[in-house]
Amino acid sequence: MKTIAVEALVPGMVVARDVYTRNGQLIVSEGTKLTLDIIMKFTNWGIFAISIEEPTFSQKDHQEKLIAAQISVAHDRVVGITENIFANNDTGAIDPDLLRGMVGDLDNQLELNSNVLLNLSHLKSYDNYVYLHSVNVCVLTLIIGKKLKLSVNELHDLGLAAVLHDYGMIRLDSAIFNHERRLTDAEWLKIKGHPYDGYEMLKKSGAFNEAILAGILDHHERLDGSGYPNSKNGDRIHLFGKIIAVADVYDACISPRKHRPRLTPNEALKNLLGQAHLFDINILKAFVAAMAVYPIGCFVRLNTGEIGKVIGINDSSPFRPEIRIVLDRQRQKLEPPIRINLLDEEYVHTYIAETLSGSELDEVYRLLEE
Amino acid sequence: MNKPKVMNLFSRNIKCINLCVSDANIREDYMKAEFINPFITAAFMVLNQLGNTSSTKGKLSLKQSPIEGSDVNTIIGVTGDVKGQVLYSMDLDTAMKVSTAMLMGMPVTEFDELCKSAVSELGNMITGNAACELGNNGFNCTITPPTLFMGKNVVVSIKNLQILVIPLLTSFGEIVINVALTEDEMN
Repeated sequence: MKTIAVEALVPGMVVARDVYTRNGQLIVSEGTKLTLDIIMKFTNWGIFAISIEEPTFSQKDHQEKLIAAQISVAHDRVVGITENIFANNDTGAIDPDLLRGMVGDLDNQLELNSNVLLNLSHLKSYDNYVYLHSVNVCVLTLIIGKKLKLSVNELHDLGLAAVLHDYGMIRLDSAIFNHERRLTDAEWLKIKGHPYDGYEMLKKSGAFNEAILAGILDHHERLDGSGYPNSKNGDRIHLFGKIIAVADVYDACISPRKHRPRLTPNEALKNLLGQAHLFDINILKAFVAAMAVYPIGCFVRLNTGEIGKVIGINDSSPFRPEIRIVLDRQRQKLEPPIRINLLDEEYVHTYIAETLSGSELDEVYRLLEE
Repeated sequence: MNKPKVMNLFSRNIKCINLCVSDANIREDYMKAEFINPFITAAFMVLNQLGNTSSTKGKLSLKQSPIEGSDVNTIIGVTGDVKGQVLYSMDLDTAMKVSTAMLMGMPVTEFDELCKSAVSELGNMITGNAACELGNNGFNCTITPPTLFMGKNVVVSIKNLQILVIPLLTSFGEIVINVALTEDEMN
């Protein structure tokens, strides 16, 4: 139990002792979970501080921690396999069954807890962007494929195509895609060759079906014909290519690269929707429905002033995610943070006022020492 | 004598609203301006956040329950020191434009589940804000989760209350806020 000033109260905290007005009228009883309207009542009644339960990590936090450890190990393994494939430079060394098993693994992890898996792809960073990116894009395409109700076989083919979508990059000097400067025209030309290079090499291996190969070939095509390598438009682009395109652009935006800072998940979504004519609208819709308006990993300011991180998506409620409140209204770090689900009825007049970005986000990272 | 009579219904708040009503039987204390103004302020604030900076308020009017809805209607209950319902109505075209704005510019061609949650959330944001403001003014209240229903021929009955109709002219189209609130008698 600790006593805390009314200004520092956060929705979700639990009252430790009955709160009375000065003339002895009970306002809030012990054990009540604070909500915005109760906190406001305190101010109106002239109460300055109340006793709250020492916040603890919830049961759900503990469970998620366990699952996260499990998923993290599996995820490392998947990235490792991808790294091997890319580093080997020999299509003969690719074991399609191993890859298929790995995509199935990711699919299972998504079924187990998609929130935890998505959180993971934000936190990890690897020396070589391509491996992690390939796995992230695979996860995102699986999420989209599920929303589009693809069959399990199609879904796993799609996942395979996604893991290998940048396979053609192995022919490039790694200095090109880890570049910090502006690329020369010749370098650009090489980069633009990677969908076809990957397609050609993997086709020769004979281990992959047409749909997988088409997905790899078409992942840089755009609906209006402005993409490469074949300037295909509309329905001439393979479905897998269209899905990978959306996932690819999104993950590229939220990943830190040497030549530019990363976008927040919300900015990355806005970026995609700002050029909606380039992508299949039904795929974009499925993506927004799955990732929600405030995707996992976003830092947001609530209308009540607290700052939280989006840690979970409530299916079919894109505006009301699960949030970990990390800073109170006075920017004091909450230790441990408080977890609230905006879908719960008690938080109905709490909502996300805005997402944080730029210098304000840097400031939050600094305060959290993240 | 059907000439509309302009009367000042509200005495407690400086920001009084002049109502244009044709029904002379409206009781002066029926709906206080301090119950209404938070909704107008909140609506403008939320619309501003959506980039709709030039919204204006149309002529307010009083209606008796039941009232007709529009294509897309969101109803949110208010309980506490102030009780009643708030109904947000707009036509389909407006609702689709609202959805696009709420969904970060996503092109909307049909009014699907995503759009429904976008329009519901708009109602939630305005009402949530207004409820906070009501609380700041000493009327503690809480709201219920929004319910969205569709259909032009919908008729909404709100208890026995009279309903204050606030038409907002926005770049999305007209959004009508119907407020039916009364002070809790126990208070």
